[in-house]
Amino acid sequence: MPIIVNVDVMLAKRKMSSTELGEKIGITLTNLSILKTNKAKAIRFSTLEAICKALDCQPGDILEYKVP
Amino acid sequence: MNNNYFARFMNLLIFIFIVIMAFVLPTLPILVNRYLEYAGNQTLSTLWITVFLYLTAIPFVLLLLMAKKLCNNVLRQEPFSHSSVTLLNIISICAFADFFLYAIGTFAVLKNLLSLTLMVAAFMVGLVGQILIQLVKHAMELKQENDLTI
Repeated sequence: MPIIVNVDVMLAKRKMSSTELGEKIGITLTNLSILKTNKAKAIRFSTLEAICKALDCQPGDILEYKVP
Repeated sequence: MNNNYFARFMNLLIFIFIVIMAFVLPTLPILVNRYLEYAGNQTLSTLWITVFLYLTAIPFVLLLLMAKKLCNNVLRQEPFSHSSVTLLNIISICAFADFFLYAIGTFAVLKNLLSLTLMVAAFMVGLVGQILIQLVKHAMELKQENDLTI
């Protein structure tokens, strides 16, 4: 998929662990792992909003489009 | 929760059917003899009717076992899986096999239009099975998409 989720990059920038993010936004580590490994087929606006709020960033910082 | 009760009920029903079949299959020749005596029809051959009924029992028993496995799939909360598609496929093939056996048997052995009802019923089970396979395949795709939506 040409859309890449850069949650791990933002997590490193904010020096936050996956567990901490999962607890903050209320999603399981399994789902967070699906998101990080780009296996996710879609992301809900509510999840995106929660991630942006927790990491204090914009959706563009998390999602990236790469020409295949 | 209602679905679970229904699946359990169906599971029990299929189990009862299997038990009944286990009793009926060994005593089938006697039952056929009694029936023919009762019906008083001398044109029918006891041996052929018994052989024919044993032949039709094979797909039927297989169908019952597969239906039981399908119920177990529902009870295990994984109705939309590859195993369900395989089970439905076997059910459908068994039903079509019964349809063909009855189609031949109606004219060759039983010579009774009443068995046409069974023939049509078997055909409908096969047809509905095939439609259900398509439905389960679509549902599997939707479930995967839903599971991968975070």
